[in-house]
Amino acid sequence: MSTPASILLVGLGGAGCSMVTRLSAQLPPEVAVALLDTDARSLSAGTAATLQLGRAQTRGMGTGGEAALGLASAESEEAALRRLFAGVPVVVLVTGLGGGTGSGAASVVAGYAAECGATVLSFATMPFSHEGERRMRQANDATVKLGQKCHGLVVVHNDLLLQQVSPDAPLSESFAAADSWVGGALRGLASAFAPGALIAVDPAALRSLLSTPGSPTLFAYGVGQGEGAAMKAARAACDCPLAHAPGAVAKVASLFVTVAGGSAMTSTEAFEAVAAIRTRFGGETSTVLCARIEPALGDRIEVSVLGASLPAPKAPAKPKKGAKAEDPAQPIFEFATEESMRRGLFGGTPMTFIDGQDVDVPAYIRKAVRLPASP
Amino acid sequence: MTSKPLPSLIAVIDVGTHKTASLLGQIIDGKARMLSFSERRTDGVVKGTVTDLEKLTQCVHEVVNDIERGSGRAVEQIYLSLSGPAAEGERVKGFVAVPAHDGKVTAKDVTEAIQSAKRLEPPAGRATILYMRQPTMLDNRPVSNPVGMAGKRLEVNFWRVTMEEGNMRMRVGMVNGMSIKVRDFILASHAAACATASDADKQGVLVIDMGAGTTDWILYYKEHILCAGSIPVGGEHLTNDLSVALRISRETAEDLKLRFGSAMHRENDVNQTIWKDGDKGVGDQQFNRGTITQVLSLRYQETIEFVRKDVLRRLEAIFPGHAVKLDQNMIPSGVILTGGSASLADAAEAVQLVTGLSARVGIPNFENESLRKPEYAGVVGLMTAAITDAPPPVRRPRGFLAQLKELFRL
Amino acid sequence: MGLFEDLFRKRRDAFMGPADRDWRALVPQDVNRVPEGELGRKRAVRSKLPTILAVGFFVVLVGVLWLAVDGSVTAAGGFSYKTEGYLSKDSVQKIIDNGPEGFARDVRSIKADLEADNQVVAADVRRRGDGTLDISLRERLAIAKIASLSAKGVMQVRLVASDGQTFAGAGYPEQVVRNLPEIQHYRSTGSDDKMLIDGIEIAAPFLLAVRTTYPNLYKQWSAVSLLDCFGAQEDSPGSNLRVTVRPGTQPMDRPALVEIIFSTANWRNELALLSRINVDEMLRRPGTASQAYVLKMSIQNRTNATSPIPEPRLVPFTPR
Repeated sequence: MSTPASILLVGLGGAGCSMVTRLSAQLPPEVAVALLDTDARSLSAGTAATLQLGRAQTRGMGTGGEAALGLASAESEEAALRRLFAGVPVVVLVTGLGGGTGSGAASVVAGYAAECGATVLSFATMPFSHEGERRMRQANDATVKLGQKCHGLVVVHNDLLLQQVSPDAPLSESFAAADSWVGGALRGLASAFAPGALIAVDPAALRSLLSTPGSPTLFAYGVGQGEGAAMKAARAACDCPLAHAPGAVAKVASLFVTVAGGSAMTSTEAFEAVAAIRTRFGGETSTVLCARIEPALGDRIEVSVLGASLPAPKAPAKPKKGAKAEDPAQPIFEFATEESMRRGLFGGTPMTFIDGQDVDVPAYIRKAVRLPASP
Repeated sequence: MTSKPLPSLIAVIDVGTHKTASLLGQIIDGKARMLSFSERRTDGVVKGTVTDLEKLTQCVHEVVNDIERGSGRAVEQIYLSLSGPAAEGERVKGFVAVPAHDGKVTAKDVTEAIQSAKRLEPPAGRATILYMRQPTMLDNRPVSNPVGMAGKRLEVNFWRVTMEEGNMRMRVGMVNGMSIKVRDFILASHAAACATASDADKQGVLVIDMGAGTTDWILYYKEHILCAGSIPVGGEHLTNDLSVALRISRETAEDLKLRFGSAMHRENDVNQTIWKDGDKGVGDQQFNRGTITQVLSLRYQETIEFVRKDVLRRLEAIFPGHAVKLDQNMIPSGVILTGGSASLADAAEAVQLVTGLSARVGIPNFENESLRKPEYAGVVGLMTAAITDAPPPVRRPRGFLAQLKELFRL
Repeated sequence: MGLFEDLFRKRRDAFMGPADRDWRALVPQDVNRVPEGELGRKRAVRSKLPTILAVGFFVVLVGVLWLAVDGSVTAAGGFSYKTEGYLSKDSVQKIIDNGPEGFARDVRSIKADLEADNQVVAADVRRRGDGTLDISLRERLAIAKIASLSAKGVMQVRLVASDGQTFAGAGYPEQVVRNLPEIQHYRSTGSDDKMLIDGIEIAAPFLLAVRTTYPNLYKQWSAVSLLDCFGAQEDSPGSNLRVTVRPGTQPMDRPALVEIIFSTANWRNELALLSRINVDEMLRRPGTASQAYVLKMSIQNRTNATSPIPEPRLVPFTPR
């Protein structure tokens, strides 16, 4: 590439690489692609830039579900990874947690990217409930570590994907839902960097939104079509299951909203959509809107929302007699606060597994029961 | 200095995930008369586990102060309920071989058997809390009173409840911090059973106390406890499921659960639409009742299924090698459902569906009308269990000498 | 049946499990509650009442005893006093007042204070029933006076007792002091009460003997010089006591007797002899040309007899 890309899309591990490969067909030009894996076979499929991790550790055969092996593999390629991330403004890391490469290497790779000065946004998938206790625990631990390293983390529960498709649909269709979300996110991010937008935005604004590692991240994506497409898209984004996963944040302080539509789209529509988004998701501190015209969309309008808040600083503990009071201006990133962000109501308590399933996850999700549509 | 014993005061406190309730009563003629009652929202407990000790201590403190103020009496000793997965129970046995020359069991033999049962070490890091009596076996036949009977091998059984030492210290310490002594722990499921099941029921009954954070169950057979357990799933999970499914806040979900929730999902429900607020105000939302009942019934029935599996697992541990089955023969009184979550519509029906046993919702038996609700089964049961199992020591009016001793203690 | 039921009732029996693992054994609850608010206040007051009463009772008891004891100690400073010596009542009062608590303290310490003064040999202090003191002192008798330098460097006249101790001589009338012979030319160590005069162990008994046995002689003497009394052995001819006679005690029509010299070794015999000698007649004998004479009582001849006989002779006085 003659000019360095604005966004680097990195697929890590088997699941991550497959998703990136599927997406790479329709990506905007500002997005470059890289695949990282310990398993040599998954890397040979696509035409994108690849990097094999842990040649010595795994000899190209994957980690077999061992997170420690994944970690070592990533560390062994530190120099190459740093070269990969040098000079890139935004890195989007896509990975499937629960296995070895994804769970083990994700936080390390994100760490290198952050150290090279990139803003790191991660999409991490959590295993299906029926995959068993071990993978779920490994994924949970990995989420914690990853969340501390990357600037924005969006957790996608695989169970939720099953909700998006009809019960008798093939499995590949449910992954299509996840693909559309991540694709939408990428398009939304890329639009900040691409020239010629209807309402332009400074890429620096996006980066300042995701400036603090470990802050809870909100992501939503919706599509609308036809009459009143903007409002439909906005409503779809509001109802996006990603925003309603157990433990997802309900309201955030800062929003980055991208509205993309066909040539018929007006800025009024865009603003209406944003207003609806703001009612639902907050954005009190700042809301940045980027609107683009993509003729290829026709009468479809897509809305993608990225939001973050600074985590609430932990209330200074009552100073013991004689001890100095903590400086209240220093926000402390508490594990417990983060945990409660992820696991919602049940953060801070030990995970309970009965028959290998995490019982805190809603029953209907685990049993993959499709709910009747809302009126 | 023998004077008529004063009616004893009993103070009990039930710390739950959703609420903490405390009852102060007087024992008159072997029955409890309520002097004061207090209830507050619990802060700092999730799924039956303590997440914020400071907040919980504050809450307990306030509740105790309330009942003292309400009754005008000072509380010095209190009974605590023990619930949740923290309390692990298992069966312990003690044997003694009846000396051959006589062949008849003596009281001494019984004592020896009890001692040998109680000598068994609990698992590492755990403290023993309760020993609850189970049927005595003479030559593998259950007997009610072996003294004087002929036999070779006497076996006494207890259901021993242990708790992690740190957890126990924390709870006792929390109460001691208010300078109140913990008189005793009482198993929450046993308490719920004492409140809702009669002695006749206890010939064979499974009592399920489903609270906000945990579901405690206890199985009685021939008036004795056979086994007990706990599942860390409760009403909160019902609410959470609904809030995720409908993309609404927890408070709204709780409200909808109480108004429209059901443990059974019927075909018809799908066709009903309901309004969240129902007042035709702005911002009101419509929901499909079917969604609500689907989500709740899935969770509720799954939880009961967990209970059923747990009961079977424990029975298998007690009677190894036998095929155990939960059926109406063994448990004639079926299932008694109690606790806050028993108020869910069609709960009994759901339980019947899942377990195959007859089920009913149990109301605590108490003189005071306001406490005759399933959510108070825990606290009322504590009072009942305290009176029968471990009554407080008899109080006598204090003479001058005693008061003198008191003030030196002060 | 009853026993079994007793042992093994439905209520949990009191036997504990492995004692070290039972929760009651692990957490001994040593708490005693005072409830908050009104209940607590009521209970606190009610239970503290016996304490308050008991404490009050003891306080009252002690107070009553105290007042009783105190009441009997009028401490008006009244005391009756007698002494053989000259110590004045005022100075006794001052001594007593100077100590802590003055008259109120116990008799033993008053006695000790009084006896601390060198003038007092023994003090007999009693307290009568009404609180007044009976003090009777036995004082040291002064047999001579001495001019000495006090510790502060001030010249003062002190009196010398028969045991060699010096004392201030408080209360002594001036006339008495004037009549006391002065010890001169002495060597001493220490000062004030602790003064030790070289040779006083000879001079003091000497003067005491003179005072008691020959008071007439004693009255005539104005000074005793210890100039030749030092260091030498007692029986050395050079060791003697020089007594200065008062001029005013002698008639004017004969030569005056200025000095009498006794030997330190033999002064008793010499004294005895002197009392038999008619000194006046000796001085009126013809041939007495000088105006002043010294009477030497010491032995001239050196005999080794056990009790040498003094040979008194008059020699003209040569002022040194």
